[in-house]
Parts: sequence; structure tokens; C-alpha cells
Amino acid sequence: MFCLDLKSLIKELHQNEKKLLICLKAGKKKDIEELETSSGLEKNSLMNAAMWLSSKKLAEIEEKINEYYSLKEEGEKYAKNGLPEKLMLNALAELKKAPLDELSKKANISNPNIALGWMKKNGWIEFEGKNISLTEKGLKDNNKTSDSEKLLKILEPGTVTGPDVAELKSTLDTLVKRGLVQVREKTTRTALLTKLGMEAISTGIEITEEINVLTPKIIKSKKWKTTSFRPYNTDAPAPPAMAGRRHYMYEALEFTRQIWLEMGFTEMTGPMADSSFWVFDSLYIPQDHPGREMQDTFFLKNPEKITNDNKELVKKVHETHEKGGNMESTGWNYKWSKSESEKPVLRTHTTSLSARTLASLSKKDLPAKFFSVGRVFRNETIDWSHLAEFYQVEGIVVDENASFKHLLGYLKRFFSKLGFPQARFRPAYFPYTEMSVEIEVFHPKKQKWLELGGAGIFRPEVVVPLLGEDIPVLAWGPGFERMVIDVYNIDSLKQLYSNDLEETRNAFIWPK
Amino acid sequence: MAKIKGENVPVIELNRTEVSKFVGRNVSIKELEDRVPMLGTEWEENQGDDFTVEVFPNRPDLLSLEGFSRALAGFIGEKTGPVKYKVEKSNMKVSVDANTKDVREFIACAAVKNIEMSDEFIKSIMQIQEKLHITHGRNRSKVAIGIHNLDTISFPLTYKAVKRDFSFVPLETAKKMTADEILTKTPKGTEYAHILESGKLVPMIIDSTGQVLSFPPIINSEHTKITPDTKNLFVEITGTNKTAVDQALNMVVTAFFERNATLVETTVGKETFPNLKYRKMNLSLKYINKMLGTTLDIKESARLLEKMRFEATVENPQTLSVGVPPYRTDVMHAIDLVEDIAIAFGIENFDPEIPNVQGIGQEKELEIFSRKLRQAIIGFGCQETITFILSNKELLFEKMNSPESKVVEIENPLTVDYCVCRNTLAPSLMDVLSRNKHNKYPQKIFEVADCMVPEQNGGRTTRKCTVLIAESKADFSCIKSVAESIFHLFRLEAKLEKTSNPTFINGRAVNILLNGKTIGVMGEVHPEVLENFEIEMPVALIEFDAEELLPAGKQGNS
Repeated sequence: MFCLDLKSLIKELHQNEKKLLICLKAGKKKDIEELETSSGLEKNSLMNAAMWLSSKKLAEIEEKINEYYSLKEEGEKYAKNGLPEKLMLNALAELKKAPLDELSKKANISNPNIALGWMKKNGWIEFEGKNISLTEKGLKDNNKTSDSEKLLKILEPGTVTGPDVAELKSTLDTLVKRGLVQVREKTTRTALLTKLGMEAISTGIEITEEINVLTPKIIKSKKWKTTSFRPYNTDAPAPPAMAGRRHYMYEALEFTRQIWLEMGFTEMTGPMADSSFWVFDSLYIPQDHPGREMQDTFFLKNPEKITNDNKELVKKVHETHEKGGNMESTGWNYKWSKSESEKPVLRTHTTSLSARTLASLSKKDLPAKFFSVGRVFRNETIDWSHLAEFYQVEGIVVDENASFKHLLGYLKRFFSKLGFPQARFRPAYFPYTEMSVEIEVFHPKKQKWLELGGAGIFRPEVVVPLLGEDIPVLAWGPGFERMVIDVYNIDSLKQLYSNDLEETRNAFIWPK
Repeated sequence: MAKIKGENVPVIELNRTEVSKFVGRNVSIKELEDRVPMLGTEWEENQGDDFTVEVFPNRPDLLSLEGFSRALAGFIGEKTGPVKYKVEKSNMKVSVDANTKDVREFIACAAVKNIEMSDEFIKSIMQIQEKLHITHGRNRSKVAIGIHNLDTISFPLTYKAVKRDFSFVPLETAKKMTADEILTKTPKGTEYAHILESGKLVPMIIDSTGQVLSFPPIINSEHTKITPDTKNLFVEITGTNKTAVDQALNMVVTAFFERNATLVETTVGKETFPNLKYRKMNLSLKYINKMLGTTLDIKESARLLEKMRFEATVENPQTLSVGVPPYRTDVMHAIDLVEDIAIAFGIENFDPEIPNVQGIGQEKELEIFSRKLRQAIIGFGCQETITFILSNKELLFEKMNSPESKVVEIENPLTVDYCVCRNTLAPSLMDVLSRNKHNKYPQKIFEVADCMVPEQNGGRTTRKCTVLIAESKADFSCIKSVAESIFHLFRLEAKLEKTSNPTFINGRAVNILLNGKTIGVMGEVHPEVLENFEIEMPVALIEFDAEELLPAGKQGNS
């Protein structure tokens, strides 16, 4: 892992590491804490130096956890005066048989119940009515020193370590449980030079004054002119930077906006909650179209309806749906309903913005180019390939001289700028465009064609009512998420909106 | 265009050998895979010689083996130009009772004689019926199709509305059932009962002996069932839209005509069906070339139309007279003919071209401002999030300990998570924090995004900005630093006014005022709110209306 060139390894050693290395010269295992005096280092620096030496494979650090036992206050009292159960046993041995109050008086203890409990547990006594009498075991044990007593004596002078009392371990545990003895754990670390460490020593380690961290003080005092800098191990890991940044999905969206702007398009924005008129009817989507049904569109509870003040436009759209209006079209041949067109919905596509834009244009504004990057809504159950809310990239070119060839040209240029120089088209169907094409781009890394969505030329039935005359309007509205998940190698659309900070902090920048 | 999901896009199952028979030459799977997508249908997949094709909703005439092959034969140049239909005269008659008008108004019928019955044909009949029902027929509500054994029927027929206790033996059943029983007890009955208005009379097609043919749009009778021995067919179409009914009949009988069957007319009321005349339209060469950006000549244009099975005659050097086949339901305007020319020409054969049109790109002020705001906030080390506008009241109000305010509500939500449009942004980001407890802190997140406020004539979109800081040291002063830096960078003279807001710890929250108007709020989030989100880290947050920071006149999202 680290540089194994011994010389540079030694050079990059911090002074503290060098000092510790020299302390370990003798080749014996040493308790690191004990090196505080000989190394002249503080405890923390010493430990740090030891860890670094270990990671550089110059020393081996061994860790050992030791337990230390000492008496608590009550334990100390018992060590001095004797265990209460033993005191009571002594008293009982004299009285042979006595009630509790007499016995405790004789034994002179303050908390007779504890004593009584342990005496019973040890099998020293029996109850005869109110009287307590001595058992044979009690008589025998009265003259013996118990393990508990032995332990209290051992612990009385001060702290002992685990191994010192190993034989009495179970008794020790009991005393710990009784709250007479406390345990403390302490980790001790010992260090021993490795073979590489030995080699380093024999190569010679010089402790000279070096600059570790460059401080303002050093700069001002010009100490850096006379003292050399310790070289750093540049391979050592650095903590990750927690940089603030944009979400990669927004980054990609911003990039597409930039492309349309470069291509001279004007941005359109508009309502997300809109009337069915702008979302469907103005786009010549018939009112019995399955896309307008409840399972595909979010309808709004409030307001009840969204009316359209442009009565003339409503009339034109109405006539066009039913009989083709004033152009040579058959229309959809059904009865159009105004109230159906006033139902409020969440826009299912941003093509509603294109319709609104067309309605606001007059002939002197042409040719004109518009785009939008906006959210759209579909009443769908969310899974890997479906979202209820997602982005659409919408664009229109309104130009007397525009043609199908130009539609393909604009799209090809857009996708090429986005990083997909190869684009192809095939026939598709949308109720509001004719011609209609499906766009596919070639993903160079995955070596496959990605389906990105549709484009076309608005039908005269869409354009004439909105714009007043039949002028070609090139239009497109591909979805965006599919492309982003392919570029970022994500397998679900849902993940794009999952906001896992680990993922978003580390997502790469859009490749183009 | 994002595909409109509701387009119930049907897939048909076909067989290469069968298709080859109708096309008139052997077509390979490879050729199909290459040509099918360019014809305006989608290649799905194949298993050996069996393959599946997706048909777009505007071309229901392709929803059968016969119809698909007819189009393919033209597209690959094997059989071009119009199919010439012959319809034999007959005195088969259907009378229509006036009482059907309120029940299911329209009916069209025709007979098809001398068919060669086979398993493939039965499969094809079933497929065409099923697919047309789903798409063109809007699940039988707009149009329903019944096909019968002609030789079991005695003419004249009557189409009438009857009471619900009227009974007959429905298809695949041994005993008589009343219409009511059929609607409530049989699978087809319960599936389609909703199409007929409840309580009303129901439609029935009955022959001169009283024998029932069909109870549209629900089920046929057992009596007129097609068997392997059937030689002659009777087709009846009923529905709620005359055009759609007539078109469906044309699509069915012209498909059978491809099998060399004899079509026989039927008179329904005063009208005789099928009407297989080619509808005449004029198409100017100038319009074709203008829309496509091509330089086609009149003969080439006519040839391309013939590949799409249209009748095309040169009227004069500038104009074509085009006959639209009776099975084409999608041709409404000359532009539909132009598209077919483009498809016949081959979409892949167009040279994409960018015209030299001047245009000055212009962003919306709000977008420019939002970008600057995001840039500034990223400078504080914040990570941007992307959250949904669709939300729910629990997240927006309950979890935030805040009183409910007016939101735009969805009439037909699919899940409890998405039943309103948010009117505040911070809850979405609190949710992000609660999902990121396993990730490293500090977590500083922000978003500049849209919310929606209900208004009389819809929901107004408003742009909000929120910043959340979650870390052990997060407190009022960290978020105040962010706020003041934003005010300074955008030269705003904002005032802070202490407020009591249950989302925040009492005494550690302020309203942000700009020109006397409250535009936002910030503070240290109350531990109860943190608990609601199961966040175990202090959080300080700010939320304000980004739009309010824009100079007057530059605001607005529309």
C-alpha cells in the first residue's frame, strides 16, 4: 500500500515517528505508555506515531485489554469489619438459636436483611418459627475463611488485575454483582519493531528539526528559510470533500436549456394546473381519447372548472373537433362538449405551453422558435419505468418555410449537441401531429439505440384555430428521464428522484 | 411528444408464412424486422416464424393479418394501388326500431359468402374482433362487432330495444337466460354491463323467426355460432357514433375480401352496406413538397401514394386526385396523405437540414434568477435535491406540526403519497433528510423549485427556495448566516421578525419580511417535528418565495 522504498519512507517519517522508532531500537516489546519519558512525547502524539509506524509496517502494535478490580465503598467497609453475614453467623454460633432482632443486635449490624439473605443462600441457617437456628454447614463455615473474605483481603490494599485473581473469578463476579467490587477495562498497547523497522534503524535515522505544518507564525518568522519541510506521503488517503453541488438531473436539464438557447429558442413557461382545453382540446385530442380518462390524467378537485375567456378561440376549436372547422378536414365527427374542456387537470405534457404560445402569436412575430423544459404529470403507479411526475423537453418552430426535413435537422442538431451525434427517425403517431416521428439516438458506450420520444409537425386542425392560418409548426416533446438514467447507468427512473445524498454528492458531471 | 399513455396500443400476433401468402411473395423475418418499423408500425419480437407487431391507434385497419399484409404488400412494392372491391346485390334487410335510438343508435351490416374456413381464419376473425373492440371501439362502448353463421339466419332482421326480461340462449351456454341474468351472472355480461345505461331497455338483433343473433355490445347467441363447417358469414356492427360504426364494418369486410370472399350487401333501414367507395380528395404537389421539403414530381408522388394503397390519378401537373380506401379511418385532411407519401418515400431517406432562420434565444427572468440563486447557495456547501410537486397533507402539515393551509387537490389520486400539489417546499426536503440518516453528516441540502397555490381559475405556480442544514451544530445562527449572505448578495433589505411557529422551537424562529411583506420563514426545527421525521440530528431551515426577490414586473411563471 505505502511506498516501500525505504529511504523515502524514512524521509517522510514525522519526527515523532522517528523518536518512537529509536526508542524501540532495543528490539524488545515495549508498553507504549511507558515510552512517554524515554521518547519525550505526549501520550496522544505517542499513540499517533505508533499507529503510523504500524500502518507503514515499521512496527507491530499489539493491543491487550486488561481488567482492573478495586473495592467500592461498601466493599472497603466489609473488608475492614467483616462481611455482615459472617458477623451474624458468629453471633448465631454463640446464641445457638435466636429471633432476628436479637441476633442483629448481638452482631451489631445495620442492615440485617442483606446478612440474612446471604446466610440462607449459603445454607447456614434454618427458620424455626420466629427463631433462627444454625445448620451443620453454618457451624462448619463459621470457623473457615470464605473465598469472598479472601478476595476482600486481597483487594483491600488497592487495585489488582484480572490474572492476579484468576482462581477466584466466580467469587469475584458475585462480589461485582453485589456491588462491592468495581471493574475497569483498560487497553494497553505494546510495540515491537518489524524486520523493516530494524532495517530502517540500521539505515540510520536522524532527528533534525523539520517543518510539519506550515503556520502563519513560521511564514512571518521566516523560519522556513532555514528549516526543511518534512516531505508528506502523498499516497496517504485524504478525507472526501463534501462539496456542495447541483443535482445531476437538474444539471442535465440546465444543459438542455442551454442548448436550445444557443440555437436561438425563446423559453416558454406556464401553468401546471390547467384546463383540459389547453392540455387536450386545443391540441385536437378528441374528448373520448383514452388519454383523457381518469386512469391516465390527474383531474383536480378544486377549482370546479377553468373557463376560457377567448370565446372566439373556443368556438373555432369546437368547430374543428366536430367538423374540421374552416379547413378541408373531416374533423373527429362527434359532439364536442364545452364543459368537458373546462375540467381542470395537471398538464400531461408541456405541449399545452406550445398551444398557449401559438395562440398568443401574430404573423409579424414569425418566424419564431420556442422551447420549454418543464414538469408534466401522469396518473401512473410509480415503478422502475414509470413516474407520476417527470420532465418533458418541448420545442416548436413556427415558420412559413419550415418542412419535415427541417424538423429532422433541428432534432439531429439538438441531440448531437447533447452528446449523441447519431440520431434516427421512424414513423410514429400522435393525435396532434402529422407527420409524426419517433426519435432514437445511438448510445456510444452501450452500443444501442435509445428511444427518446416523439416529434412531428402540428396538424392544421391544431394550428389554424390557434394561429389563424395554416403555417407549418415543427414540434417535439421527448421525455428526458430515460436518457439521463441511461447516461448515468441507473436502472430505475425512481432512483433519479430518490435523493440519496451519497449518490448525488458523487454523481459525475454530465459527460458532454 | 411524450406518448399519451392512454393510447391503448394494441399488439397483433402474426405468422411469417401466413403474411407471405397474402403479400404474394416470401418475406423473411429479417426483412420484416427492417421494414415493419418504417411502415408506421412497431416491431415487437419474433419466435421463429411467429412475430408480434404494435399498431398505432390511428391505423386500426392494420389490426388483422389481412389488413396488415395488404399494407405491407404495397409498402414493399409487391402489390400497389387500390384494391377494387365488388359487392353483390341482395335483398337481405334489417329494419331498425325507433326505440334503439336511446339505447345504442347505430347499426351497419353486411354478409360475406364463400369463405374457406380454417383454424387460421378463425384465429384471424377472433383477433380482428378483439383488437378493434379495444381500440376503435373504445372497449365496445363506441363500437361492437358481432360475426355470425349466415346460414342460420332468416331475413329480414330487426334491430330493436327490448325489456330486460327478454331471454335467449347466449353463446357457449346450454340454456335460455334473460338479458338481466346475462348482465349480472356471465363474465362478459358483468364486464360490459356498464356500457348500457342501467334500468333502460337493451338492444337486440332478432331474425324473422324470432331467433336472436346478438345482444350487443355484450354477447352473440349460441344459435348463430361459427363452426368449422361455416361457409358464409354475417357481420353486424353497432355503436354510438355512425362514422365509427361504418368504418368498423369496412375494416372487417375488406379484411375478409383479401381472402377472396364474396361481399354481399345488406340494407339497414334505408341505407345499403357496405359502402366501399374510395373517398376523393385533391392533393397539390406544391403542398407535398412544401411540407416535406422535397422536390418530388407529380408522377413520383402518385407512385408513392399507390405504395400506400391509395388510388392516385394525375389531374394536372400540379394536382393529384386521390381515392382514400374505405378502410382508412385516419385520413381527415390532405396532410394525412402527405404523411403517407413521406412513409412510402422512407423516413430514413430524408436529409435532415437546419434552415437559416434568425432567432435570439431568450430565457425567462425567473429562470435566470433561479440559476443565480442556486449558484449562491451551492457556495455554502449545499447539495441540491430534486423532489416532486405531488405530495400529501400528512407530509405538508401533520409532520411539520403546522396548521393546514389551502392546497390544490387531486380528484383521482392513485396513491396516498400523491394526492395534493405542495404549497410549501421545506417538507419535501425534510423527507429527504429522513431518508438519508444512514449517510454522512453534515447534510446541507437545498432546492429552488415550484409549488402550487390554489386560485379561483386554477393553481398558480410559485417558485420557492429552501435550505436545510442538518448536523450536530445546526442552530439558528447557521441558517441566519445563510439568509443574510443571500440578502447581501442580492442586495435585499430584508427584515426579520420573531414569530411563534410550531414547526420551530419557540423563540428560535423568525418571519422574513421584504418591503413589509412576509416572504418566508426560518428557524431551528422543533424536536417534535424532528421526531415525526425520525431525524436524530438538529436541523435549521429557511424557506422563502424566490419570486418575491425578483424586481416587480419580472415576476410570474407564465
